[in-house]
Amino acid sequence: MASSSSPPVLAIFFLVALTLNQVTAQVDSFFSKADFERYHGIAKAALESRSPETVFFGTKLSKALGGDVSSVCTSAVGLISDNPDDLETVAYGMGALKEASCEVSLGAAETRAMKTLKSGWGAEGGSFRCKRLTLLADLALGGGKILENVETAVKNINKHRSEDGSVLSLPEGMSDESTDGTFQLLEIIAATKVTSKGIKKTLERAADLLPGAEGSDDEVDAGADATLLSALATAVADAGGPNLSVTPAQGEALARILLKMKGTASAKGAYKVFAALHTLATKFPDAAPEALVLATPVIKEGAVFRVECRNILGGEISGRSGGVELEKVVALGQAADSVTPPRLEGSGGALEATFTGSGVGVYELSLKVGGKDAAVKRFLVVQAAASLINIEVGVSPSRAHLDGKLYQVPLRGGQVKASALEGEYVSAAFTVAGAAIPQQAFFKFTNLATNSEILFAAKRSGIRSGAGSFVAVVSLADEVQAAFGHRSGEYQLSLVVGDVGFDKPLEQDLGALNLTFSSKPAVSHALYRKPLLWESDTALSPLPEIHHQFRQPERRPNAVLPAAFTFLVALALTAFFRYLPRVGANLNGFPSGGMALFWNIAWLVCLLMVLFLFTAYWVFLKGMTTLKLLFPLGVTTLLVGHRAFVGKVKAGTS
Amino acid sequence: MTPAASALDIRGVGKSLLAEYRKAANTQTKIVDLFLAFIVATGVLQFLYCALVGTFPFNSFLSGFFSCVGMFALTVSLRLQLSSEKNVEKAFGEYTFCCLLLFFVVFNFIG
Repeated sequence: MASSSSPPVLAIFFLVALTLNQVTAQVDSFFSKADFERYHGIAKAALESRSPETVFFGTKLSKALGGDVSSVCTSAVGLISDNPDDLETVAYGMGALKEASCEVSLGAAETRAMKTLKSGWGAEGGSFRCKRLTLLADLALGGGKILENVETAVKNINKHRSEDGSVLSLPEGMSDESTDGTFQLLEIIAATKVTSKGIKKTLERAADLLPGAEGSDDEVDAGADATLLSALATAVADAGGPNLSVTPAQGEALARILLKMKGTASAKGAYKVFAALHTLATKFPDAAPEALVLATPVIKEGAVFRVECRNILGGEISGRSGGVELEKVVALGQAADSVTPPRLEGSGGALEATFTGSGVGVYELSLKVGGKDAAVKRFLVVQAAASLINIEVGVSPSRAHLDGKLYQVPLRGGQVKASALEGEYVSAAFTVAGAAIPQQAFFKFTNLATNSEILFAAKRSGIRSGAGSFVAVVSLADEVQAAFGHRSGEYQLSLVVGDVGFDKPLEQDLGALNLTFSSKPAVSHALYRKPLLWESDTALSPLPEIHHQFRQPERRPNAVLPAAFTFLVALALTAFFRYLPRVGANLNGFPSGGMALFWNIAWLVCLLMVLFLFTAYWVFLKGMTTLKLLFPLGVTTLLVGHRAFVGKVKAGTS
Repeated sequence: MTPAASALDIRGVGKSLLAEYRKAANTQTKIVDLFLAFIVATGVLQFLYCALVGTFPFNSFLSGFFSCVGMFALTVSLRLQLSSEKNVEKAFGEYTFCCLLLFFVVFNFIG
């Protein structure tokens, strides 16, 4: 970039620099008074914050803006005293005290704060940030209070260097996508004012990271760029370090990014932006672009417009020969030299001229700054008042507006009706009175029930006199009915007309109209072109409703029939018992006494109990329960029966 | 031979069969035969009912009908044992056990 010991290279460099200097870069905004006031507000609010980082950056911002930072001496001490064990609080608090040049004592919290800083230096894992904060805090304390040797400390930090010492690599854990580590290192370099060969290379590499540099990534975070530039400038200028230059291309690119960022609301962001802009404007004046701004981008016809040429901080540009000259004024879309360019007059960077063009619209101003050959273009909008006149609403059987019945506006509700069933057309004709013929004119229908709006474009027409005649014809045909959703009812009509040349848009209420549409047609398109799985995928109508077929209850007989059969079975049973005596059945073999009687009765009882258990199983018992009961009962029945039959056999034998 | 003569002949055979049965069969056999007749009558009545009103519930019909069939089979085997074996008590004990087993299955299936 900047330094080279070779004379031919130097000569080439100066030639290139001279050539580049012929065209001073221009940006279209600057840091205005309103921005200054807003930033003062941000700084003031930051000084009252409870966040140490916010207080730190608020202090830096306030100091950069030339504000009063004396309140920090109290608030920062309070923050540190409230939380002396937190590294961030102590480090940022110390930094704020240093920035504000406070001479205060931490009192009882000092011992703990020092201990926190020392432990921050030795912290492992993500310790780079801790070390940086600790180092900055130590510097804030005057150096050497925590770290034995600041130079050694910086060298320790500078150990994040590639093996050949050429590049200061990013600390472990920081991504190559972000240059945050480089910024923090540069901040340390600037704060410690340490210079070395490695530092020089670091600065050069960092400068290559600025947008606009050859091979740089213009998508780098603008906030990071701001920090980088601030750190670079501080390191270079304050430390008396190696010469470093920023090219005009880099300056312009950086200025655009910073000015785009100036709307930030945070103290940290505001400081970065302002510090970088300030550095660019004061320490790299040759690279800083100028701001050529149309202070009045929109004017009325024949009014005065104002051009301001300032530096990016809103100050006057000094040391440049030649003012700002308006070379030509061209109405957009027309031939060159359509307007005689007026002469800009004024001083102190603010110039005025009365617009001499006729007609509203957008004009391109070509401005020459400082006698340079290349012109800078800015756009001026000239506006005038406009109005709508000769408004008519018509309902006709054809497209011709004049064929139907015409109504004056506003239409009374319910008075005017139009029907799609009869193929009618609704039209509106109007004339725009004013200096401009509008680019856009719409005829709007608003459904009073649903508030939905449907707009139709109006076209230029010659049916009425006047250059700004328009007509909008709406056919209530099928395709338009779909736009209305087939919703019949009252619609509010209005005209909406706008153009850049109008000082305000025009919206004219035309009254209410009753529209009748046909009913919504059935869906005419299939969901899928081809069936996915079933033919019904392309069905246009709902499939038949599914009726669940539940199992029908079984046919039950009349109650008489089961009763009759039960009677018949009972009859058979009765006949069985009746014929038993006839065939000779008797109880003579049944024991009459003694144990044989007992066992036989027990045997019969056991059988009855088994049958009762089976009945109980049928009615309410579970299978396993039945088996559990059946097992002992069965065994008992077996044993009892065996005894009974053995006794009977013995009785028979005897 | 004329139908009337055939009918008279069949009646005669039946009468002689019945007379011979009454003379030859002992009491136990007659009781068992009467029980068999009752079982058959019950089974036929169940079948007729099913034919008239349908099989629902089918499991109940099966359990009832096969209880008759099972009892018939067991009782027939008891009859055979009673006529051939001297140990009536043993046969009756086995018959009782098998009937209880059959009843357990029937009650399990009857629903």
